[in-house]
Amino acid sequence: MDYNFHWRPVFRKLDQLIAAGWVTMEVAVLAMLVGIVLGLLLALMKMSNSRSLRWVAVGWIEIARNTPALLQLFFFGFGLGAFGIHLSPFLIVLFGLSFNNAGYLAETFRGGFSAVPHTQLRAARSLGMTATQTYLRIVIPQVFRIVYHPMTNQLVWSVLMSSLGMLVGFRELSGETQFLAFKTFRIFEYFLITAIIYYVIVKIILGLSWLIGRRLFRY
Amino acid sequence: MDNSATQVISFFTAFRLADLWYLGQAAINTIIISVLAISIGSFFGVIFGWILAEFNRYLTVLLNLILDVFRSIPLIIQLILFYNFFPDYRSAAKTFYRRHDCADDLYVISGGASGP
Repeated sequence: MDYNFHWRPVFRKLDQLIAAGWVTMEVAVLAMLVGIVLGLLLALMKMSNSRSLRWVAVGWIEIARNTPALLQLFFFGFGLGAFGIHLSPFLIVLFGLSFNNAGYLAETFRGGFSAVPHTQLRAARSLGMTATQTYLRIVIPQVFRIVYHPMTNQLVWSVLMSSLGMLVGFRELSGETQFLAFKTFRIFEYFLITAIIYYVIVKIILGLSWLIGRRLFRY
Repeated sequence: MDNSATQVISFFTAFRLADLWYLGQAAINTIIISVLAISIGSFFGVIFGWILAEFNRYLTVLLNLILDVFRSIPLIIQLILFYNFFPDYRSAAKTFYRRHDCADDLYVISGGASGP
């Protein structure tokens, strides 16, 4: 192998890469928050008595889980573009990841809801709580405890999937790396440093979630 | 070629029904690569799982570290790194062996000028 490594161009742009890492975290966390809200709604819709609501939820979940995330991003990018709806790269990635997260989280939440014994609902209602109070004070806190670790996994997955943003022109960590790498042709060096930054981001997320989980679920 | 194969679907592009044949071929590639990847992955998964469960602590710490790296880095970045790590090898190797069925994407994003 007659390849000579040149690291100086990469270290010169390290601040730009770290800034792009923040963008990655921003879009992943935002997509996760939107995904949690939509996922909760979808889970409740899938468990509801209304057939039409169930069908909407099932359709969303099936498409989100059974098609590649890249295809979902392309739908929000090029698919909507064909109808004259042009979104910015940030919104394409945000909508695509949120759609995907919502599909996966809906099933996670549904599992969490199923794990809370139905007798607790009836006990809460017999104590005079309304349905909203029962869900907000009894069911959802327990569901979040059950789904906390799968949710952390989904956040990590969201960070990793955000790298697909480079294929729709989004300058997050991968997109920025691609942009800088092709200006200098030090592709391997740039992507190796990017891989390390991704590793650090994932470790930070896992560390923080462990600390938060320890604090939230002490008992 | 019969009439149905040359019929143009007016959905913004000149997509023809005959193009479905190429998509079908690509789908077969996707299935083959998935089956191969899951088979090879399962083989190594069993071996690594066995090592993690049974072998000494230093080896498991080392193996955990390596596996953790693979899990914490996006697949697309791993593919680009593998692709660019073997610049001499890549001209001879087929894209198929680099775990990707969307060869053109990979060639574009990793700066490759030639096709598979």
